[in-house]
Amino acid sequence: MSTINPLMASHHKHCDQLFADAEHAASENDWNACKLLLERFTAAMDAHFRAEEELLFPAFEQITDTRGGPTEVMRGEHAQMRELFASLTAAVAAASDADFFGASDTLAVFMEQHNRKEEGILYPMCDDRITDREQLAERLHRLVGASA
Amino acid sequence: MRELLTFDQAPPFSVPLRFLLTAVPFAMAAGLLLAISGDAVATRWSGESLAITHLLTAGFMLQAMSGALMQLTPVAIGANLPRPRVLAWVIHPPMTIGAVCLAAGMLVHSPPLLASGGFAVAISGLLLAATALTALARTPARNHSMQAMRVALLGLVVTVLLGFALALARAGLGVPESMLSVAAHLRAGWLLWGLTLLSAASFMVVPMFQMTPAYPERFQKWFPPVLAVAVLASASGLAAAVGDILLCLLAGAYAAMTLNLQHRRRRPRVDASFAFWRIALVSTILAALLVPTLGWLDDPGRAEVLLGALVLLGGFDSVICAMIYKIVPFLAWLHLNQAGAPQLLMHQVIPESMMRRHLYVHAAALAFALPAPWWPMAATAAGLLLFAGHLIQAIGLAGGLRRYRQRRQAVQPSP
Repeated sequence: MSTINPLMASHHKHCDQLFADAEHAASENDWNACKLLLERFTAAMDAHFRAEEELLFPAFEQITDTRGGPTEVMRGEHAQMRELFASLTAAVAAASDADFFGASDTLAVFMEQHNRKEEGILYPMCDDRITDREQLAERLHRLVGASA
Repeated sequence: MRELLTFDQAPPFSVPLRFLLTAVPFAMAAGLLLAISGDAVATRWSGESLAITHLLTAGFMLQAMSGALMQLTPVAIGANLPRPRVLAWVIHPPMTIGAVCLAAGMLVHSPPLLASGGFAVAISGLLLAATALTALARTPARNHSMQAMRVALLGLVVTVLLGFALALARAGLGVPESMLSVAAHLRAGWLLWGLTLLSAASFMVVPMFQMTPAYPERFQKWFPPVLAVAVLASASGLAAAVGDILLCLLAGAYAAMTLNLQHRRRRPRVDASFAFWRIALVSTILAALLVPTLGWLDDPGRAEVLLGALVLLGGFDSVICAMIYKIVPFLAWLHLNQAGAPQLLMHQVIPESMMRRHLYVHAAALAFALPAPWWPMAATAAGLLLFAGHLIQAIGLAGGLRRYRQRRQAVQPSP
């Protein structure tokens, strides 16, 4: 039975939508709206990262005994995305659409390939191997749901 | 599990980059040759037409698609190619030299060049296909792009083997009659290898680049195998007419569906890469509409060249440029970031204004290429514009690479 993948994949989509909303505001040079939407997006992403780093990845590492493996790669990618959030925030503060879309283009590709790896490999393995996955999914939901 | 543990094994930047960069001079050479070919491109059988075709296919397309494949296979699918740097060193030289020899052999009717070029391209293609198929068989990941990639790689095998046989025959060497089928060679190349690999990449990158909805599950599942069956039916002569109609329907359906998905994208900006995509997809639809009309023409020779222009310049050249303008800047950012070097965001690698300039020149080249089979002056203009467009691309890529190296050297000397 699959529970973690649909929950986390659905939250990816939610974050994607917030990201697209911020881009729409930037494309209309509405920097005030963009700032608010970007804050909502980064808050949602932060909740997602925390849910993974504090709950999901430790559970995966414990079950598979793979500390330093794929979860470490995912943590590293989270850090890279946080740097891009900072670039976006700086671009909004400077009201620079070239810098904003330069950073957002980079983030869009990076974020989507990150999501693809999680949804295609990591989450299905979590669903396959973690025995108390329903309980874990419930706790994940409480963390990411708070940002939705 | 072992494969999963290494599922972030992106190859070194130099691996995909050498293929993507080498692709561009082939397209420039094709442009120059087109510019001086005049009336020779009124038929696809002239030495000039064959050479231009193979500069674009065995040169530009094969290089770019190999580079994209070596990047996407491990990163997006999770199938790690073993020793990618060694693999690139083994595959890239014969692929490059082979394509040059093959095109030159066709242009000047040189049997040694034809035979050696065909052999080198075939060996490099077979090696790439065998390695990638092995990696795909080992990965625990299961998705539709993977299945499409398998079909595409088998298509590459068929294309280079049939192409090698045809090159040998053209060189005057004895080859079994059953191996000589231009129809099978071009269908395997255009559709089984080209379009299926494009679909495999599209299933991944179209939603990724523009945040579109995903392709429908059933389409992703059935498109590659049905396309393969249609190619088989068409090329083997078992049900050629039905097979060709089905191929046109499939190619048109893929292009129309991708246009529709892109129309429903969530990202608002229309950049040069996106416009290249649109040219490619519209050209594919026009090509799919043109094929059935060829049978009604008394002399389809010139219209066949028009079909080639739509497929190669309008379709594959455009979509490959769209991909290069996303993949190279993204990889430059990624590798600098992972090395802890100063950040270089995608728009700082190749400026959007430069990509847009290439886009306009490319669109003009295509507009002149379409009447070129009937109007030699248009061939000259199309060739010069094709050359100029890819020259702009080469300058843009060189500038991006220079900026990459400057930042890379800030943390440690470039390898």
